[in-house]
Amino acid sequence: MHTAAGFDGSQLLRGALDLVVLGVLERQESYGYEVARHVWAGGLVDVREASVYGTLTRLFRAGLLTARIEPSAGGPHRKYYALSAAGRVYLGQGREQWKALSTAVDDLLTNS
Amino acid sequence: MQTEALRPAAATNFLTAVAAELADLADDDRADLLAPVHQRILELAPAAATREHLEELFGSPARLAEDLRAAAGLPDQPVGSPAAEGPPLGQWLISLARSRPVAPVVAYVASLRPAWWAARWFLLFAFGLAVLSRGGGYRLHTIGFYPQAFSRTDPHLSMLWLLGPVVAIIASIVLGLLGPRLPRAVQPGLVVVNVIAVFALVAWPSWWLGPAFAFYSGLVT
Repeated sequence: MHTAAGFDGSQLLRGALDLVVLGVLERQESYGYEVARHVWAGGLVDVREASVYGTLTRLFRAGLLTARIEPSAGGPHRKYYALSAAGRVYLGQGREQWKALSTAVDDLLTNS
Repeated sequence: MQTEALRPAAATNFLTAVAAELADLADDDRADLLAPVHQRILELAPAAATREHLEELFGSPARLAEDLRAAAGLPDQPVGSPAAEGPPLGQWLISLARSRPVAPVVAYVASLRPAWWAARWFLLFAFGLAVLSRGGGYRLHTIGFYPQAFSRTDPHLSMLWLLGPVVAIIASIVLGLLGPRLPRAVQPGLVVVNVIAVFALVAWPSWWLGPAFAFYSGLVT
């Protein structure tokens, strides 16, 4: 995280991306690129598209997402993801932990 | 730099290159990772789907594959594995290693790597010395050797027998940590080192214990 050029926040983001992706899908069912666009629109412009695609695959395999295939005229079918019941529980827990962590970090950074 | 005019070949070539970087993965893993990339490329305006633009969007095929793997929690591309299809035996061995009964064993053995890094150079160092001395004076496996070594008149020589194994162990651990980043030309040498170290691990105790057992059991006089 420490480089000669300054603080590298990519490690921070790596831990939060799961929750970010789940949060996007909580609002609406989406496919890969659409999720990435929502992530960028939310201000996380440094997130790579491939990171979103890989995260979706991993979360789906962990049972936190459901998926349905929408046929496409050419090429591979588009896969739409949505939160599963387990994903909702996981997101809820993650949200609480994120809140607690960010509050504690804010306090420490403010008072240091 | 001349921009490639868009043809399906440009996108196909890019995807093929990414697929080659993921060749070691199971078919369904690879398909799951490539599908959204493929879909994304298809949605690009034809004029935008040049090799240059694709690399600007995703990075090089190797970089894209690495990002996909990392985010999906899949293992890194094995060291030395060719991006293109390897020989059938290699492919079979990879499939065997990933099969359900064998994969846990492979995972357990892989978890022992740090311990192996520490052990292998000590094995080679001590085994080599034992061979050179034909089982004579350079017997690092005997605790009694060290008082003997440190009673020598030359203290610098004494320290060699302590520092030598320590340096060998540290060097082995560093090599293990550097493994994936070592130049490809060095990789075969590392394989040879590991093979000899495994041989030493198996043969050396037998070579030392065997004659002692034979003598004390009365098999030889």
